[in-house]
Parts: sequence; structure tokens; C-alpha cells
Amino acid sequence: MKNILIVDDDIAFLKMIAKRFEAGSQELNPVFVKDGVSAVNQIKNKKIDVIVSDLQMPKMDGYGLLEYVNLNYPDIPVIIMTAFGKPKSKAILMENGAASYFEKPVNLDELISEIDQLVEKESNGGILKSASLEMFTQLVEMEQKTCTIRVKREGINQQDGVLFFRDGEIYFARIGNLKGLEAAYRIFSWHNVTLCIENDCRIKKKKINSDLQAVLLEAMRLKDESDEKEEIIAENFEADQNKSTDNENIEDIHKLTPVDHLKKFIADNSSDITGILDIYEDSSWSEFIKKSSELGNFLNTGDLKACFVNKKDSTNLIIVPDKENTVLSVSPKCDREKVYRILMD
Amino acid sequence: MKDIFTELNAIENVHASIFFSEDGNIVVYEGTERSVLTKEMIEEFSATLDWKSIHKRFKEINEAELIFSRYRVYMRKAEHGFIVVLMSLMAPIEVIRLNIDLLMPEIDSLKKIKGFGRFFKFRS
Repeated sequence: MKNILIVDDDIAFLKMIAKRFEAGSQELNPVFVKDGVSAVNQIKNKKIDVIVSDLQMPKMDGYGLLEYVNLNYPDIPVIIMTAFGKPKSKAILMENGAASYFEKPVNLDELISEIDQLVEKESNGGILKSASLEMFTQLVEMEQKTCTIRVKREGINQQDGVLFFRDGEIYFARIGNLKGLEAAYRIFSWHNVTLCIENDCRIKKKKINSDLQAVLLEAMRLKDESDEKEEIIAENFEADQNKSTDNENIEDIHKLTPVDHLKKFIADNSSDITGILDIYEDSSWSEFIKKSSELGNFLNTGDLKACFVNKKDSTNLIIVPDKENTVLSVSPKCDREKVYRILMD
Repeated sequence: MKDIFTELNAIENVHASIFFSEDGNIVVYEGTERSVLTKEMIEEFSATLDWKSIHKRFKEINEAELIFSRYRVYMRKAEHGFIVVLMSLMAPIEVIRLNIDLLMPEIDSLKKIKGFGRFFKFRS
């Protein structure tokens, strides 16, 4: 599923484009915002694949948004639309990094087709599944290739990162809002990855001042350290389990509830699930959970797995129904769908 | 009055949309052919709820999503009540949110129209 961020203060246009997306490909998921500042918040908190932005908007206009994206998220293509196009506008915008330009009224079929093309371009150099990232990037270096590699970490710790190469040299890296060397180290430490290769690199200036070999060596060192830490945690966990088996009757063996599993999973992967601020038990939600469960029973919607609550004081909570009601306090950054998936499993 | 939830219900995987007044009266109910709900079910269930406590809890909440094993229920506080949308797990929640954002002025204006009760609407 590709997330397409649509930025426009024209509500009628947003409604129209929402309908068009509804009728179109299920692979494109539109996200709508009304100005540049809200767009930046979305980009920071969500994986966005393509941006479609109006030029004239309140707070931050299309020029500002384009500049911000090119500087911080250069892998995200930006399509600009405007009702006030001047002859030179298109040339200026394209020079400043816009992927495409449309004059309003926009032909929606053409716009969707352009989005499809940009999405397809992400892998115009091929897709490698279960590939060795180290080996592939060393080939890129050897052949002095220019490309953008989108790295997808598979499995339960799903994550996406991007590496930029120009003439075989590593220029930039990004995972979410983490950029530069730190992002590169993290990406190179992932196992089980799928690579999507784009035969282009939008970064013109080298922003990582190390060569690939140095980056790979440091990433391997960090990876070894993290593997050792994981082994120690696993050994301690096993020892704790054995201790409780020795000390308790078989009926009393402590079984991990889904919430315990979730807590452990989050503790082990806190770097992978971003935006979880706190985990605590709060029985004050009992009545709310009880009524919600009753609603589920009544409507035959199945068991209640989780409740998301956006409070007026701007806090976001995911409440997991159990004896004491475990509450995850989350920032808007948190990928709630990922947390739901864990709870559903 | 036009069917205010027509566009919302046209979104794939949305089953039904309801607007409850603060005291639990069903102001608008619009179901789709996918809906597992009927008018009678909603009325029956609404009568069992303690709407005062729900209203009290929703004083501190803007919106809530209930994730069940088979369906998802989205709830949004409006000025004079609550919007409740029943949908499948795969429903595009962002599109639904946007549609509700756009509907809010219309929903909030319902109370202002004289004779609130005449807008009670049931379709199953």
C-alpha cells in the first residue's frame, strides 16, 4: 500500500480526489491535509510515498513544502498543482526538484497516472528479495552506479529505509526522521531485507562524509553488539522462566498474557516501534472498555482487541482490554496499525 | 433533508453510519447493504446504554476507534452528539476521517434546525 499525501486547502477538490481514489487502485492510500504545515507533520509521522501539493496555501505554501521535502525527505517525489500557473512557474518548480507539474483544473486520470508512474519508478532498477545489502551496495560502489535503494526490513520488525548513491558513493540515508550516518548504520544492520532500486538519485551533494567501507564496518560492529545484547536478554528470559517452573505448581505457571508479550516485544523493539511514550495500567478505563465490549457482543463484531482514544488534551492512548487495562500512551508518530496487528496476532 | 452519510457510506468497507444525540436518541441512521445492523438492533442497544456516563467520558475525548477481531467502530464527538461508523478492519480510516471532518459543520447544524426529532431517520 502506498501512502499519497494530498495537500490542498480547496475542500471541493479534496472531496473530488477522495472519490477518485475510492474508485481507483486499492494500492494507493490517500492522506489529506489542508496546508503545508500539516503536510510536514504527516511526513514526520507517517511513511509517505508521493506528495501532491497545491502551490498557494495558508501557513506554508507549495514552494516552502517542496524545499522542505527536498532537504529532508529527498526520496519522496512532489507533484505540484496550481490554478495560477505562469509561463515560468513550471520551469522554476522543476528546477527546484518538483517531480511533476499540473495546472488546475487537474485531469484526475492524468494525475493518478503520474502518481502510478512515480510509484513504479521506485523500482525501475529491479527488486531484490532476501538480498545481501552489503554485497549489493559494494557492487554499486564497484560499478560506480547512481541509484536510490529503498530497503524494506521484513518480518515482525518491518521498517523502511532509503540509501542514496551517486557514482558509487554513499550520499545520504534516511529511516523515518533519522537521517545521515546514524540512519545508514541502522539500515546496514538489518537482516532479511528486500531492496527496491531506482535508477536515479535526487541528492546532488554528498551529506555522508564517510566512504561505504567505513560505514559498513561500523554498522557490522554495532550489529554484533546488538546481537550480543539480544542473546543476553534471551538467556535471562529463559532463566526466569525456568526459575518460575521450579518454584510453582504446574497450574500456577505464570503464562504471559498478550499484554505481557506486547510489553516484552515493545521493550525489545523500542527502536522499531516509534512513538510509544509510556505503558501503564489504568483501571479507570474499565467502564469504557466494558461498554465497548458490550457493543461488540451486541453487534457481533468479535472480541475487543484494542481501543484508540484521542483525548482533548492532545494525548493519544491505545487501551488494551485486560484485567487492569493496559494503556499505551502514544505520540502521533506511532504506527498504530502495527500495534493493532501485534494485538490481533 | 438529504442523506448526510451517503458519501461516507459509499467508502469501501463502511457498513453503517449513525448520529446519536447526547441523550442517546438516534438522529440519523444510514446503513449500507453490507451492514450487519438493523434499525431495531440500534434502538434496542441504545436503550441499554447509560448515555450520561458516555457523555461524561466523551467530555475528554475527541475521537475513539474500537478494534474488534472482525470489525472496527469509529466514534467522533460532535457539538450535539456522537457520530458512530461501523466498518470492516480494512476500511480506509484516513478517508473516513476526512469525510467526517467535512461533515462536521452539517452535523453540528442539525441541532439548530427547529424540530430536531423530525430528522430521525431509519433505513435498513
